[in-house]
Amino acid sequence: MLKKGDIIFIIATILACVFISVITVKGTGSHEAVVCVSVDGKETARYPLSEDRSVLIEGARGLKVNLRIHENRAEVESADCPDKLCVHQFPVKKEGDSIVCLPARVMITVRDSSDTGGSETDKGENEPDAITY
Amino acid sequence: MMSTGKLLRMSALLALSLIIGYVEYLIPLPVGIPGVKPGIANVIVLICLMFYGWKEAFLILLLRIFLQGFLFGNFFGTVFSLFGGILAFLAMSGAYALNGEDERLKLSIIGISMIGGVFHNIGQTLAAAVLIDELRVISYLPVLMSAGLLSGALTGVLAFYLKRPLEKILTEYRGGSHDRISER
Repeated sequence: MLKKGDIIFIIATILACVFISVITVKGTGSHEAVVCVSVDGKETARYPLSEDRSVLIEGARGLKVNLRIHENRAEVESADCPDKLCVHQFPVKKEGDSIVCLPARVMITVRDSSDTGGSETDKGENEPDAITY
Repeated sequence: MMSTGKLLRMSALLALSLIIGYVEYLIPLPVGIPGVKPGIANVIVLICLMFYGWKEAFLILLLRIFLQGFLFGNFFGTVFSLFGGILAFLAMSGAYALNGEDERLKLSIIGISMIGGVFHNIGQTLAAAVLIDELRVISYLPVLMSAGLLSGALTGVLAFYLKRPLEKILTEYRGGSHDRISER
């Protein structure tokens, strides 16, 4: 049923699969998850998700946001903003997940270590379209 | 043009492939790229290839892609299918042409089908990379190539076992009063 040429093709395809997966994984670096902090649309800091730490982020208008990285999760422990929505948001750990504090214009995102994060930290994203009081 | 008998048989095959394609279309596959299906409908293309030849198979392939696209497909799905289908066909016919005299290196219909399956998915991935403007879909290639290999093998085996039963129905035979009209 199967001829020799078929077998050759199967082996060639499997080798190609292995080859491509090696290349693509290598391209994304060490696949380390990184917590990116941006204030006013500009990236100010990056911390590895794997290391526990507490960081005080200086947000806009003097509002401070307390970022805590613990057990491979990032969350806002406390913040000076009036609504404290950021504190109530779930801790993030997956790439792409984010916590935002609008009054302080702080955005905390989980990214891959090789990702320069150009698409999502555009200045426009962090600027609210309008603010109501 | 082709004989009436052949035209009728190919039309029936085409209709059959659309039905198979419709059933496949109802099965959603959890892959990131839209329009990826098991591709069992391509058994018809293989059957056409076995019994009638490359040109006929290509015709059935194109017709199936377009008709399926119009009947129950979306634009992007059809474009992906077209990309994949043409690339697959080029690969299959190219591989067959390169088969050479060495009997040991020959490809069976299963091998040709596997080549078709793999290259169909490669074509779809490339089309997605271009259309969605995201080169990172290339990372899906290993999974899709393996899937293509598998589905190609499945379709090929199906065609392999269908060959004998279909021989009587699909090949034109001379003789018999009903055939005299189609001899042109």
